[in-house]
Amino acid sequence: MILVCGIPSESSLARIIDALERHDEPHTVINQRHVRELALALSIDDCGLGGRLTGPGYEVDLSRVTGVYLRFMDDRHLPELSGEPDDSPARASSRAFHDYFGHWAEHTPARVVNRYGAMGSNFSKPYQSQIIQEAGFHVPATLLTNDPHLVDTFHAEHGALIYKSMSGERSIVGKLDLSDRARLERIRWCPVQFQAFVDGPNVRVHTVGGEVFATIIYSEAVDYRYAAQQVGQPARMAPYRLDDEVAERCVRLASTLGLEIAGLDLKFPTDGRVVCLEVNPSPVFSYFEYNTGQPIADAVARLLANPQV
Amino acid sequence: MIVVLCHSGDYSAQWVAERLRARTGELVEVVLVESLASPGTVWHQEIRDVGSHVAVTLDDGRKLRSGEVKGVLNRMIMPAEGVVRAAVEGDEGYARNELTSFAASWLRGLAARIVNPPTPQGLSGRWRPATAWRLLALEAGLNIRLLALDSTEPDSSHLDGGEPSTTVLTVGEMPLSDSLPTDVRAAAGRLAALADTPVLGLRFQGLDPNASGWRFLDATPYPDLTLAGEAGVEAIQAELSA
Repeated sequence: MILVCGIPSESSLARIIDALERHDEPHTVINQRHVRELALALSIDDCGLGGRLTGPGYEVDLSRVTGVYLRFMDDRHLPELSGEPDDSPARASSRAFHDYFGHWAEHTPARVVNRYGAMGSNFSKPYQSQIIQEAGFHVPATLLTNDPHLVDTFHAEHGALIYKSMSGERSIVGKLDLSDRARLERIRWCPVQFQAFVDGPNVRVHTVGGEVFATIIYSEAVDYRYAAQQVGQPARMAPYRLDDEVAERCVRLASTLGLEIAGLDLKFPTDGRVVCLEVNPSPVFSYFEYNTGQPIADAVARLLANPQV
Repeated sequence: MIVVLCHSGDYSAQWVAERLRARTGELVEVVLVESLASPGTVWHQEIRDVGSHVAVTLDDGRKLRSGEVKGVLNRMIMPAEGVVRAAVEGDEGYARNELTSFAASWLRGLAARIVNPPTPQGLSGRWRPATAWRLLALEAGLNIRLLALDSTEPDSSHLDGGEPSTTVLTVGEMPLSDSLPTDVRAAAGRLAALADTPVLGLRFQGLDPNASGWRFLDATPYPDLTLAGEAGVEAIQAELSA
């Protein structure tokens, strides 16, 4: 039995459900929008972990689950709970359901795509960057500081710089304008992350178990996700053939991070390096699948149907 | 140089710093987390293809540089909040996340030995819920206090936060208590290895665990470091030099 957890209309989830149906793989969708009807009982005894999940019209013995696609949203923002006070029984029950499910998913022998514990590394981009560097990828030269003079020195060495958030919070990557000295002085309040701008095309690599899907992105924008805003036209995408050795390294890095599915952001500068900007542990692969026709959801369905050894 | 990074109220870490100074004769710097929020602190971390370099100049003039710091006893459970209070209204959460992310990064880059190293689940080692600890304990071969959870009755009182318990300090997979039976000692060591956390406090049910069968409740990566006395300091010293 495979569990698909999240909001079924969300694009990546919808594609996986569709793929599982096409492949006749038995599955149950745990629709998060049914939060008021979801319940989970877990027990830990000398035999280990057991549990039962119930929802509208179904009941699942968790010991029979072999695969899980886990993409629950932050339950505090579910429309079904809007208007509920913070301490209401409905919110407490929802929190408990999501907490307990996360605990179960962390320890079940089933294949979980992805476990929350493994998804943590990009809570800090520079922390993750050190792991990426240790895995043998080139990384962008990065400066974290609250000293504007160090930014000047770094700029003198590397030329154009970009700045972006350090945490997993989504931010728009911007190019640094050093002529705005007053603004730069504000970093004295809180250290900021600067990186040497890496030229060349962006390549998004999705690893799904041992399978690799690469997409090249054509855009003049610094942050192609916001290309329409930054350069007036959206990014164009196409499938890309990765060198076998690079593909293998991508799979190894995802595996090192404990990720069954991962989205690696690579750059291929003109000097021939392969630079890894970051690894996204919860990639919205549907955007790339839609734009390139690469069968990523099918690969996820195959992975889910393939029990962990 | 050894750095003991701790909060101002963490007397057990400061006691360990004193004892390490006495034992090793090495330079042991106590750095209070609160002092890092001083506007005079200058932060400098670079990450390049050759690795990471960290240099922190504290407000009092002391300098911490990777390459010069041999080991860090890391007891920072959260970054200093000073900057968060200065954030634009509504950005407090963002500022807190940025500071936490930065702390994990510079700590990771400061020294080869960090005890406990920062993790995504906790700056001073991984925090886990009681369910996760008990599952790891089962895997390690410990008896556990049974646990039943029901999301429709989310009462956490059964997670034993308040019940009488006995804590055993483990350092580097070594339980530091003479009263542990041999099989429990071996299993506790295995649990510490599975948890991949050098310093842990393992909590067992009851004030006399011998009477209650050494039933494991949960663990913390932030235990009282005085629990095992000088044996604990010796183990921490060994761990920092490993």
